[in-house]
Amino acid sequence: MTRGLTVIVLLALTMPIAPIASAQDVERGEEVYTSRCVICHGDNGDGMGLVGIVHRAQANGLVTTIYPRDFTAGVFKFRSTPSGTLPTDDDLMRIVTEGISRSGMPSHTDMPEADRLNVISFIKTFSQRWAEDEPGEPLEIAAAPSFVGSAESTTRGEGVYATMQCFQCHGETGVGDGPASETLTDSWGDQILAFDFTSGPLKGGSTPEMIYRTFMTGLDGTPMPSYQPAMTEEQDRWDLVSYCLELMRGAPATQQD
Amino acid sequence: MSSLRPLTISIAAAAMSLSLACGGATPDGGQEAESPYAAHEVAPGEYDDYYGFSSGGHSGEVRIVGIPSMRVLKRIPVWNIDPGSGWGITNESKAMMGGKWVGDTHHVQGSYVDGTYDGKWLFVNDKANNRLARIRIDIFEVDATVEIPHTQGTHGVFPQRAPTTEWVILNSEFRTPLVNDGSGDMLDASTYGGVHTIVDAERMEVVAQVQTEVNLDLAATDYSGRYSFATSYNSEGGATISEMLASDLDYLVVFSWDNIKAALANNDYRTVDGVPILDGTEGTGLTAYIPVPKNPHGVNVSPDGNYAVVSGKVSPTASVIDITMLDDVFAGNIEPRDAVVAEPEIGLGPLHTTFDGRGNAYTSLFIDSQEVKWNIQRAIDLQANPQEGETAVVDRLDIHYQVGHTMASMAETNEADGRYLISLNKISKDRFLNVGPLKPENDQLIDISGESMVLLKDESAYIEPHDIILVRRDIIEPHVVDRVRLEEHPEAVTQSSITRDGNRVTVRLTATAPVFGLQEVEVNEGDEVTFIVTNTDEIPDLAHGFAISNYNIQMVVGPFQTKSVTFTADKPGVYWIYCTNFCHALHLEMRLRFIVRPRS
Ligand SMILES: [Cu+2]
Repeated sequence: MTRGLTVIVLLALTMPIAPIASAQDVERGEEVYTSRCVICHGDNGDGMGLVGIVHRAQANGLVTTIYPRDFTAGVFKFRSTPSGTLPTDDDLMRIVTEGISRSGMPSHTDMPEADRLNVISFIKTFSQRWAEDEPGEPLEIAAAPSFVGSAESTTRGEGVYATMQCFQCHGETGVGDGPASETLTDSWGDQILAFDFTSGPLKGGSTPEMIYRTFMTGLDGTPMPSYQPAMTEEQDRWDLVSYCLELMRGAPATQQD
Repeated sequence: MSSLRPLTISIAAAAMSLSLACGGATPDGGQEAESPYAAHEVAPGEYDDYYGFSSGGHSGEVRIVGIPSMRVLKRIPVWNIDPGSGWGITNESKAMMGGKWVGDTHHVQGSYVDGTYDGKWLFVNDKANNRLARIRIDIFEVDATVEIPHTQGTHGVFPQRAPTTEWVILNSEFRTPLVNDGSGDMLDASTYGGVHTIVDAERMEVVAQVQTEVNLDLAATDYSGRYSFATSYNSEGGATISEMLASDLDYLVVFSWDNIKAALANNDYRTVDGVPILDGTEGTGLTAYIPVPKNPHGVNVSPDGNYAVVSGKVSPTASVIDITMLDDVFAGNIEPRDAVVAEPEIGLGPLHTTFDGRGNAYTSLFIDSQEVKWNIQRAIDLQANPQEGETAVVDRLDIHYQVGHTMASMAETNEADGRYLISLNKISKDRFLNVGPLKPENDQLIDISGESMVLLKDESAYIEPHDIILVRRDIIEPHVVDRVRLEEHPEAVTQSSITRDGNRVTVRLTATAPVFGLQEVEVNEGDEVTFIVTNTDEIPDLAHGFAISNYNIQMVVGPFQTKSVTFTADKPGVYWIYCTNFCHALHLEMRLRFIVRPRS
């Protein structure tokens, strides 16, 4: 069972190379990786650890295999940086420390900070991209304006949801059953589910600012693109956040009335 | 199930012809008869037609039984400690149990809309510690409980049947002093009373209590939301069994909701411990006392809403009370006894009556060990025009043995369909392999779709189903979910963490197959530790367990569920926390270390 990255993001290779961690740090990072990470992410960092083979999610009768992150691709979903760029060390530290809500990625607050930094250094050895490329410049995201969550903003956001065609994947009611939802695949060619807003917290975080961040950065390696170019008005972006928050208040997908 | 039935029959027929080819003789030389159950069998992978919701008596639980397979599909812990699920161990369940681990469930009832089940809630009583619990049908777990004050023997429970279940009523079978704090002459039983309690179904709070001088046993409501009923077998007010059996007539007590609501609106009550207490003694207008033969037990209302049937227990009769005459009884236009329009003799030890929706009643006969089928209209006609040698009884069936409650499919609704009857027999005696002095009960499935009753199946049951309702699958199934809303629990964990406030440590822990959200948790000896565990797996039927070795803690958390547990870390050392509920190929590896540093 091998998975090849079918979409390769190529960027100009003229940027200066990022400072490399010491060999000692990387060595310690490998020890941590072998102790904590290998079971899911695998010996080769390709997400083909023992766990990944059997972990499945089901929705609308679909059975989907969810693989842990494949570090060999150098593609990351949860970043503060623009679509197509590498995440910052702070981004990686946040994920390693806090884990990813509702995924198999646990928290590692129980591990010393130095070990968390070292394991990040080691993870970077799996992809050439880290040697050739620089992390993107983090997007600046202001605090959510006070109108977020208001009835007016939510109504406007419903319009943005339609204009931006979010329903194509996430469905009219946000339960992830849009017309395109059954044919979605990720960059590795694996079937992937559109998020069901009514099921609870988002992997990328559920505060207004975090939802905003997900629109702007997109989730690289998945069909969720960045809406930074398409949605230029700051007002529209926050209105869409309001509508997402409203969808999250809906009934669970499995509940029928 | 029905879609597969022809196939089942053809397989059974094929098996029979095969056995005939081989001689088909049983060891005693007789021909093998096909079991009447074969046509009702639920094949592997097929579903039952009905959800049966059964009480568990002094086991304290509620059970879901598939009908007609009689398979026990779930045991819902209510008033018991259930280490399997963690009920009685988690903070959430402890808060609903109020420190009482003993309970006695008798009657499980569903919430109603317009005279049939709406698939929202189940209600169940606790006769031992006098409580009412509500079960959410979407997840089949208890979500609220309420203590019933001023009562003992909280037995009969019935929800309002129309237009919707706003009230649930409960009866106190044991007369007690209303304020039972040791004051007054405790031995003077004449000062005791029975209480009819009204609970708000939504808020699960006591609305009011109607105090009577008699004991109140089983309960029913009418189909119009205007009356509720209680049998009273101790109108004598006796404190000993001889005193309780002294008089030949006892009562069906009828409560007028119109008059109760008027009394509440007019503030015509006193308040004890914050609860409005209404005077419902005879002659107050809130109640009517309808004389029926001595020591009645069951009261059940026919699906057309017209009749309440009361069984005499020590009288071989059933009394049919015409509910449409109750307005005249309360108005004083007729005597209470005039509302009894039939009293057929049906057999010895009649307890409970159920209905097929075709005008027939089925009454359990405890002493005769029989189910008796009788026609209500025929009984009324014969009461008006007695004819020598004529009877309302249509059929009798021996059961095994000593039946208590009996219930037909959908019989407590206006959609009674007369397909199946369950006989909840108290004594199994010789029906199963001998398992020692404490034997199982025997719950029998009976086909009542034809003129004669046909015994289909024995099923053993652990202590001790008292009553059951049979609800059509299509009413319940659409409401049942595979997972709760993640954020339903205010403390739901999406990011694991350890926080400390003085000697209080809170560990928030995700459980996602096959890892907990942390690998190590360190605390100090003597810390008060709270684990809040959320199962963040959204896959149906993927539950995680959470047990702490040597710390006497275990619970199971379903998809998106959150449960918490609080304890004192009083044993220093290394203790493995592990997942107890098989979840994954690497389930055995799903564990973390709980490290308790010794006090220096
Ligand atoms: Cu598990």
